[in-house]
Amino acid sequence: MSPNASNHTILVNRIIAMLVPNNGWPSPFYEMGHKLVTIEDTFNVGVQGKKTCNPDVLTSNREKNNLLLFECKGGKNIEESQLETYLSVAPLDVNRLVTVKNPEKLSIHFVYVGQKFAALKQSISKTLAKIRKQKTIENPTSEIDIIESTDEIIMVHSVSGYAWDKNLIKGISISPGTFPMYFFPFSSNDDMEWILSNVVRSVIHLVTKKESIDPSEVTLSPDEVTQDLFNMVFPHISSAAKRELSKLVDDCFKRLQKESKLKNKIYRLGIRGNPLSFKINEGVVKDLQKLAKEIEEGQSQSSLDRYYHL
Amino acid sequence: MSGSIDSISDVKNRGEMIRFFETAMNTSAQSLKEEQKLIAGTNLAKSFIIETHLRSPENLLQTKSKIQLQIKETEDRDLRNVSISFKDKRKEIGKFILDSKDSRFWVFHTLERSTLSKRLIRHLVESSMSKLDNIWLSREFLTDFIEDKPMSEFSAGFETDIPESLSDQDYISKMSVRVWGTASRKALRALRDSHLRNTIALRAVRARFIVGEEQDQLYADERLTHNGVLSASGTSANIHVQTVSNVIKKYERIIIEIEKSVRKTKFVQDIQPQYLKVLGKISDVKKFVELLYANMHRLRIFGVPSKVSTNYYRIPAIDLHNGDKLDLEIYPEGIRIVLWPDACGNTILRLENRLQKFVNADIVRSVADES
Repeated sequence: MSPNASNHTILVNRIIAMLVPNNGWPSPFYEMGHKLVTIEDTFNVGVQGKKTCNPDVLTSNREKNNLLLFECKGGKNIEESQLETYLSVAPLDVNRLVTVKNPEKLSIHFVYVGQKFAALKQSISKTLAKIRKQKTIENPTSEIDIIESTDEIIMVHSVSGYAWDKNLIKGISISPGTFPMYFFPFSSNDDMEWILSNVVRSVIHLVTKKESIDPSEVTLSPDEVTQDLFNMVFPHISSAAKRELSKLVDDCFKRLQKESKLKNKIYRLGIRGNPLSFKINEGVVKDLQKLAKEIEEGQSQSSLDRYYHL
Repeated sequence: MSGSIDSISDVKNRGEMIRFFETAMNTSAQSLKEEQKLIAGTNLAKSFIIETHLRSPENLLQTKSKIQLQIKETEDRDLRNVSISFKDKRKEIGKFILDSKDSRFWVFHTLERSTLSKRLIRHLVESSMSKLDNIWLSREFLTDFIEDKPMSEFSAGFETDIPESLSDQDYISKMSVRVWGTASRKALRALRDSHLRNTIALRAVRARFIVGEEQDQLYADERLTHNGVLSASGTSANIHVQTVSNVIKKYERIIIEIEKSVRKTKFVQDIQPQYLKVLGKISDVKKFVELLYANMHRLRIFGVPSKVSTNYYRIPAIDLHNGDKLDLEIYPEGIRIVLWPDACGNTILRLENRLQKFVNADIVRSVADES
């Protein structure tokens, strides 16, 4: 089997899932009245705008005039400059991203989400102490909370006094599969093999839906495939992040198209872009499975040569 | 009308269709009673329920298959006489009465031989981009069908490709069983209570549907297959037609419920996934995924499984019938399936049916429960 998903991708999916109502998993952020605003968007901080802030997910609660900015941490290390920036975010800085009815009273909370709570807490405390000692920020405008997100529990450890969902404060027990992974299928933190399993599926899907009669006319742009891959949350993804994701798709394309041999094989596999004659038989599925097996085996070499041995 | 009916003449209306069917059902019932088999020239009345995305039966004429059709209207605007033949074998013509009263589920009624009618309908449905599909009945649907009725037959079948990684374990790769007689319900229960239960994928059941009391009693012996074919003998074609209609109504309710959850919502991420549960739990998710993956060609889906974390796998997959996307997420509690907006609900039911036959007969559709 392919390698595990990256922690980053798992965490981003969890945050988005918790904003979605009644679908078979806990939705504390939805219960708190939060809505998804942006994914991986960047904004300038401060009057001079020299610093930039780039939360993984930004949510808002218009009624409570509040924003939550989530930073997903695969590990425990906290960058001092990043934390410093977070602490100096002011309501005016987020103007472009979200319409706020009362900017003066807008509260902004930064939340680190990670698997290793104790280490993360220690790292944040240490970095905060350093920042305070250096007195680089006189009046921090934001508070830092931590959400512990492991394979067993989701629990908020709050220092900000923010009105978190009660269950989240108590800790919500979870198990493998509690949260889905289809909202945000991959990021630059994932292995090529993980990304490819998603890209190949979208390519087959889009080609089968094309109206073109001549297979040679079928063209797919990385942007088109990216939109298909991320269509659950596409309007929320920043342009810069879309470009980055599109680049990852393009990397997959390049590797898939590297050899004309493979191109021919894609056609042989029935990906002909002609819905009128499109038909896949069992033999083709077997071929596709061989292709998939090669993905698995190819992981150690990080090479797609094995794709071609169909 | 003669006692021996091997085909069906063109009908003018629904009443005439019922009379044709009643004669044929009576003849076959008598033949089965006296000879314990159908004598030459008698066939069971058969009704194929087909899911369609075509606007009108006349669109069937555009089929790209090896078959050709002739469609004639009747006095009833929802009833048509349809002749289907193979393009290269003009002599093998099957005559059907197509009832399109339900715009989503059409019924092809026929008195043709079983083998011929099945072949013709299969070619019609499976032709490229036909926009037609069978209906896919789960073990639970078929079990409900015979509930509280005198049951006289069932057949079950299971077939699976065992991946090499699992070949050192005890397994059943193929199972076929067909039981006739009044004790068939007991036999089915015994198998379902046994350790073989995860290989007992029901493929067909037969039960008697009775209307009226004592002397005035009318009946139809109805055999319902997992892909929506009803074959009947007995004394009342009305009971048969009503049974077909009841199967459609029940199936339609399930389809509507599924599709409500995947229709475009205000926010696309609000789409509700479907859940398939395995009786008890999936004890070894990795092995289950390996088995599922080895049988993908039978499920007519394709996708590469990837491990999310321990005991949790994801398969971004594609439905090879129509190129629709579906995501499968497998974990100890079962399988979460996401159909993308405007996907056909029949996909889920087909998948449930095929997973029961090719992977584990104990898989059932289930509503979401927050864990």
